[in-house]
Order: sequence, then structure tokens, then C-alpha cells
Amino acid sequence: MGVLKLTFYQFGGVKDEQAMQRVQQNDDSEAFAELVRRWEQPIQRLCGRMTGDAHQGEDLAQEVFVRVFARRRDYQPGRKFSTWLWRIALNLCHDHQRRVSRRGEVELEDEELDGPAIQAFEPGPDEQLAAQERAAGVRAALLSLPETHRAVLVLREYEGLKLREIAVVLGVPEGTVKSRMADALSRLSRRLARFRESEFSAGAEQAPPAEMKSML
Amino acid sequence: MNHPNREELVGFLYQELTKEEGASLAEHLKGCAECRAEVEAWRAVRRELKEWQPSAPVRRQTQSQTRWWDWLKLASTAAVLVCAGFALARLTPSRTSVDTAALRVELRQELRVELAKFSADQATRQQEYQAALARALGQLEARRLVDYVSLRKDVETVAVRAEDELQTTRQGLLNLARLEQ
Repeated sequence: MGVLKLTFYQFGGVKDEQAMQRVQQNDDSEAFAELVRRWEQPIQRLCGRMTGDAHQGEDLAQEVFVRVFARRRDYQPGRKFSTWLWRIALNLCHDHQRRVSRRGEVELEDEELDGPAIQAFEPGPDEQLAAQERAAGVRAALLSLPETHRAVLVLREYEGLKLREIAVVLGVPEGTVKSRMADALSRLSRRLARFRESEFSAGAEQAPPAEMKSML
Repeated sequence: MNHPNREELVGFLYQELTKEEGASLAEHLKGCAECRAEVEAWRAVRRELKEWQPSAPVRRQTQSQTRWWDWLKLASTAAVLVCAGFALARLTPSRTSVDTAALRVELRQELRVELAKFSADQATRQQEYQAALARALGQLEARRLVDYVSLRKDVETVAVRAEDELQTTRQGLLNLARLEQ
């Protein structure tokens, strides 16, 4: 396909920073398109995990790129594009979170889970259900963290940023990132342990009839 | 025993320490069950975090239309408010029909003040409105671009798929022709 080949050819070796500079200086829509293509999915994932809702993540990601374009003059050439982009995305997630809490909506805890794992192989219904439950537990546990901690964890665990990169994105010292991380991991550890316990006791409640049958 | 702090343990967990730091921490962990337990608990959390993979995104089309509609609603609300303001300003003088000259003068003065205030308000409101409009236009422009990009991406995907299909079909036909011969 002509257009596609042209685009690939044009932007194959172009760095994000160079593309962003073209957007900034010439309102280059081709360069902008390329940036959206490269970053749409990571930003969707980030926003989805920050809000706990994949659909919300998509909408927010669109807002992110609108803001990137609207604020293209604010981008400082020579600085890493992704750092700027992550920061814009986190700010929008933060604004969204604030709107939600002002409206008095309570984030759902163990309610309907958006997006359990989609796997190539089809595990049995039991396994699938168990996986869904574990995913719901992780989602709820992450949402229970303060936003600042959640951001650190999501950027490191799901987007693979180094701790010092996260420090630059958030504009805090690396030591702060590390102590937030330690805090977040310990809290999650406690929470997930509680989750497993409740799951275990729920399973145990259903167990007696089977046991009684075997006794008879 | 001199325990490393939690920041250092996090650096160790994510292998972001220098070689020497990492080695000395590993050494400490060998002899310290307490720190080992902490790191192990964190590792378990990291494994569990992998359980949550959000579903693949589904593109939805309604977004941009809603936005237009929202702006239209905002604009019409503003228009109604301005009209109401005018109507109010016009109706107010009817109260002045009390047959006292002094009162009339007083009221006239009051009204003049009100009018001045109103037009000042009006001016700032207009300025604000213009600024909002400019912002909105900027946003719309950006949104149009984002929409254009995603649309083009879709079209490209379709085109690539179509070409693949065509090629497969062509190959199939060739094979068929060969078989015929």
C-alpha cells in the first residue's frame, strides 16, 4: 500500500524527538500521525491501569494526544519526548480521577472487572474464572493505592521504565520513587494476601457438602 | 546487623544497583532472613501483578460527534443567558413608574449605574467567550487531527488486508490454472 510504505519510509529512522520537533515547528501532521501510531497503545494501557477501566483509558489516551498537539509549543526540544508524554498522560489521569471523586462516584472495588486476560489458548472454565478473579484482585489492589504510588508501580511493572526515568517523569528525586515503590509493594503484598484469604475461605464454605457426601 | 534501607532493597529488586552495591546486598541477604523475607514478598507481588492484562482496546466512533454537540449546547445556553439578561434590563424600568420626581431621578441614576455595570459585565463576558472560543477551536483542530490519524490508520489497515487477500486469491487462481493444465 502506497501511503503506508511512504510513511514507513519517511519515518522509519526518525526519533520521537525529531518527529515532535517537526510537529512543533511545521504543524507536521504526518509526523504527528507517526507519534500517535507509536504511542497510542502504551498510553491507552497506562490510562487504563491508572483508572482501572480500559474504555476510560482509550478515551483518556485520545485526550492525551489532543493535549500534546494543543501544547506542542510547550515541548522543549532536546528533552525526551516520552517523558513529556507520560507526564501529560498522568496529569490527565489525575484530572479525571479528581472529577470522578468530586462527582461522588466511588471507584468500584470488586465489581465487574473490565478486561480479564485474553489468551491465545482457551483454558478450562475453572481456570478462566480463577484467572479472572486473580486479575480482579490485582486491579482492586492497585486501585486502592494512592495515585502517586500507583503511577510508580504501573510505569515500572507494566511499561518497563527504569526507576530513574520515573523520577524524571514525576519530577521527584529517585529516592522518593524508590521509597514509594517499597511502600506500594508492601501495601500490595498485604492486600493481596487478604484477598487470597477471603478467596480461600469462600472456597472453604462451599466445601462441606462434598465432604459430607464422601463421608456417607 | 546493619540492614540496608528499603530504597536500596528496591534498587536490588529491580536490579538497578551498581555491581558492587548489588553484590554487597546479595551478601547481606544471604545472612538476613528478615530482609530476604521482604524481598521475597515483593517478588511475589511482582509475579501477581502480571495477572492483570487489560483487554485489547475497542475503537468507538461516537466520541467526536458528542463533542460537537456539547459545544453547540454550551453556545446555545450562553445565547439564552445573554437574551435573558437583555430582557431583564429592559423590563426593569417599568418599576420606575411611581409618580414622584425625586424617586424618578434617583431611580434613573441607579439604573445608569446598573447599565454601566451590565455593559462592563457584558464586555468581559464577551472577552471570556472569545477566549473560550479560541481555546475550543484549538482543541477542535487538535481533535480533528487525532481523528484523522486514527481514521487513516484504519484505512491503511484495511488496504493492507485487502492487498494480502488479493495476493492470496491471485495465488489461488494461478494454482488452479496450473492444475487445469
